[in-house]
Amino acid sequence: MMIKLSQVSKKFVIPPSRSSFTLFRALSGVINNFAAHKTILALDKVNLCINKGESLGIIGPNGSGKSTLLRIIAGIYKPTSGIFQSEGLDVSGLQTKIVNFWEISIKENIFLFGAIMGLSKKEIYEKYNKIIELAELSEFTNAEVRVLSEGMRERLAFAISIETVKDILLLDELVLAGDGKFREKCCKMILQLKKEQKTVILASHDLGIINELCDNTLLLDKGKVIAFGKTKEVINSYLKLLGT
Amino acid sequence: MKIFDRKYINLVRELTLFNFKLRDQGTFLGFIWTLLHPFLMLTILFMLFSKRLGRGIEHYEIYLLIGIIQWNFLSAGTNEGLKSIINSRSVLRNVNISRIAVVLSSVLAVFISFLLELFVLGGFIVFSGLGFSPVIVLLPFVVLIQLLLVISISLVLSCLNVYFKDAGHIWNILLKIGFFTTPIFYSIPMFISKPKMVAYFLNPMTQLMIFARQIILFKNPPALINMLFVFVAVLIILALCYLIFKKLEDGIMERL
Repeated sequence: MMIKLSQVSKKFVIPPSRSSFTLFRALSGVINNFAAHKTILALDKVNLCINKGESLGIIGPNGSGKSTLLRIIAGIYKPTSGIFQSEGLDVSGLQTKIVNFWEISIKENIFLFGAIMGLSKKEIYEKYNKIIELAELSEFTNAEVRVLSEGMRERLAFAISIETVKDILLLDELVLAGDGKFREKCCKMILQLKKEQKTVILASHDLGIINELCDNTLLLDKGKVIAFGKTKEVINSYLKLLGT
Repeated sequence: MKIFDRKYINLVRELTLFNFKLRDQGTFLGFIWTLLHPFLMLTILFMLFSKRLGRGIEHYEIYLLIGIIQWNFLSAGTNEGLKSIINSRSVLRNVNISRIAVVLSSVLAVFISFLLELFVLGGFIVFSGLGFSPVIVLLPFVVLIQLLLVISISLVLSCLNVYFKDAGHIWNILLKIGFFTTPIFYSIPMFISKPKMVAYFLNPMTQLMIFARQIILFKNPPALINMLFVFVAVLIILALCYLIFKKLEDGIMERL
């Protein structure tokens, strides 16, 4: 069981804007500004292999393709070219960024995400208390998520994904809102997941947390793999890249 | 097939309840608000037409109400379906979730309202002294065909709406045209030219309204061959729309 990417590229076509792109124009043949469509190569021939139970960090400057890579691993995007394989891994329901449903309560969020992860009502009930406890939100379970602070929402989403994790845990832009105690608890849980042979992939600008949690790290820049290997060495080359 | 998977059913159910709540229907009062629209339509159309277009139609109020409720489901269902993908953009971009489930659940949320409206219609029928006949057991089949039709249209519209900003406007204009060319508040004239007749009967909504009215009002079963024909036609439409959706779904993810 492993995740394998060979020569994976992802190209995005950026239309001028959706507002200038209307069905009326398409049907009347007025679209002659195809030149205005820019293409962006978000990932450029990325080769990568992640084994079961491994933890991988992804670092790189803004716009280097970290999120795109995670979305390809999560099965949200299909690669434009190249082969992506995730044999024997259940990627349904995989979440990359912090997502909440704002209009419903914390409790309903937990049940909805449980269903997205493929859990039955009974299984969610069993995990419910743990999630609330980890997120430290036991007082607000019936509050709508939109009234929570950003830190609370992040804790909720993080607690849900870590408690419902199947084979892989993906975390994009992990910030962990500065709260030292919560951060420590999260790190502990992620390390625990690794012991349980789950694959953990983190994309972050927080080099400290990458250093703490990841065996290997991938450095991306403008969609290209700049370095891949032991976390310490890759972080060093990243610092060098930033320095120049 | 994936659709019959327990996990998938569970997901669609939870998403449907979520959408239903969002439509402000989690509460009793919310439901009253949405009932207001069809009954306002009923009152206006009844006052306008009961002496003219409705002349000669027995139980014109029930006749109207059946048409309004059925049309309302088509219009509200496809409009929710149309917006479904765009509205769930932040979730779809970051969670690996079945996109069909997203469209399906927004339509099903409207379907629940449709069923509730049908129950209210049932109350009207009892109240008006019309009563039910055993033929009513055929009604769920008509309801099912309409549900499949609304899902099919929504699948395609939800994608088009990502590509084209005016898809919603154009669809609503088509719906307005449909409202007047479907026998909602009038009955199809007995003697009309052949092309007009063909135009009427190519409209699946016309067929579905004829079926529902035959079952409820006239208490005699529609010709089985007609119902089967419409059912098969809608199945073909569904298959086509599903294929279009599958073709477009990866592309829309990049544009969300």
